[in-house]
Amino acid sequence: MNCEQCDQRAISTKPSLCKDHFDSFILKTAQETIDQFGLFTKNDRICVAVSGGKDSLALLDVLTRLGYAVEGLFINEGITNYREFSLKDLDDFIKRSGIKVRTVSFEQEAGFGLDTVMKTKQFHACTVCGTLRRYLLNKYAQDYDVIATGHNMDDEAQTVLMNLARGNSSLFLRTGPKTTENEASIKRRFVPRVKPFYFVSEKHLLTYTVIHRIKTDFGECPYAPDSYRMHLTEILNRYEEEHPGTKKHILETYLALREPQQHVISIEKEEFDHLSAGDVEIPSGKAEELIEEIASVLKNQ
Amino acid sequence: MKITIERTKETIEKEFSGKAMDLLKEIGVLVEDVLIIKNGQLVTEDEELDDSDEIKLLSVISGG
Ligand SMILES: [Zn+2]
Repeated sequence: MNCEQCDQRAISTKPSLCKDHFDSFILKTAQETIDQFGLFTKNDRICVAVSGGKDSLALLDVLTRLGYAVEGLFINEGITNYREFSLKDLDDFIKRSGIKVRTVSFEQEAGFGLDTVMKTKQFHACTVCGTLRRYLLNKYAQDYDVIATGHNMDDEAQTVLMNLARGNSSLFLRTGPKTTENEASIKRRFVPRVKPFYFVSEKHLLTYTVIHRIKTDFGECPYAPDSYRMHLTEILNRYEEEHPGTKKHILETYLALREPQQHVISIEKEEFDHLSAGDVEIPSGKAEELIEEIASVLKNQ
Repeated sequence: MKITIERTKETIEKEFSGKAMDLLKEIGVLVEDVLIIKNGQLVTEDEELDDSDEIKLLSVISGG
């Protein structure tokens, strides 16, 4: 199959594009999302939340190419045989790109890594990890105007369906490409979160990293694989295959329904376990309480 | 044909020639879930494959 825009061989489908036109397509899609939702401007300082995975490295790369002032913040949770791989890829990326990436670890900040916490068998991995990640991201991004995360169209369509299917009505309307600032969020020094890849599919992001040789060869988190999300992913991909455009339509319908307000909230613990990291504010008090609770369990062992 | 599935590190030997999408159907993999690398080059699902080609399937879903 050939490119829709020239006579070169296509490397992507939906749309069918050659390498060069595909590259422009990704930049254009991200730029349109940034402009349409007013995510940030060329004057803003942007902190990219780096996971070491493909999405956040692609985000650093794309935003830099679009001329934005970005720096990365990598949170090391302390998971053996998982983070080592992504750290190596991350180092390669930093060396090649010259982009500044700061590393903060659970170990340094809280006094324990996730492995240590999980050995107590008293905490849920996603709760601890999610709470501390959000807390540390916000803490170390205070000098920036926004925190940008690599969440893509697949992540976001899954989140919409998950909240719908699980009856998380209080969360349902609170995801989206940008958190809204209000008086309370400013008072709590909550740095707004934005998602420039909101309309870029996961498959297209992987394609981008392959053609730009951004290597992210790392496995899956050994703790609590989110089986509910995985199941939805399978269903959604099967649906997308038979009905192209499904994921995009879910998000477009969702955004049309959503009131553009009240995105910043604090939420109940049980609701929050399986949220994607960009979505809600965790008051720092809550994170500090959790750190104390874990520390006291560790002390008594 | 040698097919490597990157995610599970699984290798399949299989006789096949035809369109990549038909190969995926035969081995039960969704087009949406993988990128197809033919002899080291990224190709689309309507690429014609030959039995002598070496195929690698990169998993789109891998978390992170
Ligand atoms: Zn082209």
